[in-house]
Amino acid sequence: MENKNKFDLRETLSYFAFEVPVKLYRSIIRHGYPDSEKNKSLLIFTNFFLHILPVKVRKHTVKVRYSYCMGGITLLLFIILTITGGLLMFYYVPSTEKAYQNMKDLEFAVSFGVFLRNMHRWGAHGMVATVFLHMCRVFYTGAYKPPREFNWVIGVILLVSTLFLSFTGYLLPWDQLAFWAITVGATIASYAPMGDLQRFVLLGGNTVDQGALIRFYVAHVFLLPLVTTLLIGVHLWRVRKDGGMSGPPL
Amino acid sequence: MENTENKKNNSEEELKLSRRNLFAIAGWGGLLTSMAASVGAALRFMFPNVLYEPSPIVKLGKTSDYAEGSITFNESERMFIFRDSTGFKVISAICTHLRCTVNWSEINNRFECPCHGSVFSTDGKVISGPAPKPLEWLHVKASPDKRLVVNKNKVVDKNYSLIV
Ligand code: HEM
Ligand code: FES
Repeated sequence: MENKNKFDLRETLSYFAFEVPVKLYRSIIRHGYPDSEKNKSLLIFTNFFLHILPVKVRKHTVKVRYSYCMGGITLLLFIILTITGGLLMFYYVPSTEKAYQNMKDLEFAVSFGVFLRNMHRWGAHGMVATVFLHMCRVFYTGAYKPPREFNWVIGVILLVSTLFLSFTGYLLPWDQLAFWAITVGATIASYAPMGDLQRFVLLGGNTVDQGALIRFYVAHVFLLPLVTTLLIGVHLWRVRKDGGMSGPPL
Repeated sequence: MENTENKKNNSEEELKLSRRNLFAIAGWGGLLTSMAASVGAALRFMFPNVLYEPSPIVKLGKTSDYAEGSITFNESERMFIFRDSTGFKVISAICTHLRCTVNWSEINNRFECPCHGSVFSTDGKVISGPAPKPLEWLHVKASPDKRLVVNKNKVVDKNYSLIV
């Protein structure tokens, strides 16, 4: 105590070699070795990335043939799409003069560009397919019934936002396929009540041009992913709150 | 007498707005009004007032460039120019179904849409397919330098023709 300020090499070394790592570890991992029921549970719900998972589930829910993990695969594809999309954004400029050239550059001039572009494209097609199959599974297992009816409603919004993500992304390459698909799609919007007004606000004008491209881009990379992320959070939270995944009566 | 007066006093007290309530109403009212105004402004913001779109009035080639009896397709302006013995007629190539560009079929002597198969006769009438309306005939006039000027926003009767 008296020599508080005296430098002791041995003590200092042992402090940094043993105490600091342990302190650091304890500040991050706040439970003991997971060999007891309590520590096993703590492992899951003291970890931000794992806490969304239930600590315990009923046996049938982990059987592949119950859910085919279609919701889970949809989520995985959404994460892949977010990552690959974020990378594509470094090369893509939403301008009618540049967009098509940028896509060509991604395919022929950027290392792994074609790989990332195809991952994003196929992932997008896959997500539309799996979200639909997921909905079918929920329907066939009767999992939409109370108390899960509200999660079905959230699911419907997720289905629509997935389809809108697909639709808005389709315009971005600014090729013939994109141009005519959005020409047709925007005209379909004008058949709904308030017709031409809807087409006008969707395209930001009367023609499929720069105004439409920037609108679709902002919706595709910002608005829709934001809404989808939020709703997926609520969706998975509701699965937990509704007593875990559905199944035969206990 | 006494009773009724009491009643009156009571109901007056109930109606009296406490300071706390007044502030609560003012607070919530202000918050909700400003939120509604923000949403309204954001919605209005999405409707542009100035558009940098190409003019709907387009100038085409010289009237003498079109041979008598010819049908000319202008791809970028999406229209067909008919030149008959008396003058000019212009029909829009925008399919009335979902706005694809229709093709002129030389063999069948009719307009055919590649998107969902709508078919239109030479005068624009729907022969078959999902298109709900005939193709639009567009207003055409000649400029002082003898060139065709078409107004894409001005639909005319199918008998309208520019006599030259
Ligand atoms: C972005 C789209 C979506 C994602 C990422 C997603 C994700 C998930 C996940 C991970 C689960 C857990 C069970 C499983 O994997 O099957 C689940 C369950 C559920 N989903 Fe979705 N989902 C989406 C869209 C939908 C749609 C379109 C519907 C129906 C309209 C829906 C309705 C439900 C319901 C009712 C449950 C509870 C099922 C049960 O308890 O058995 N979801 N979702
Ligand atoms: S757009 Fe011509 S038939 Fe559909």
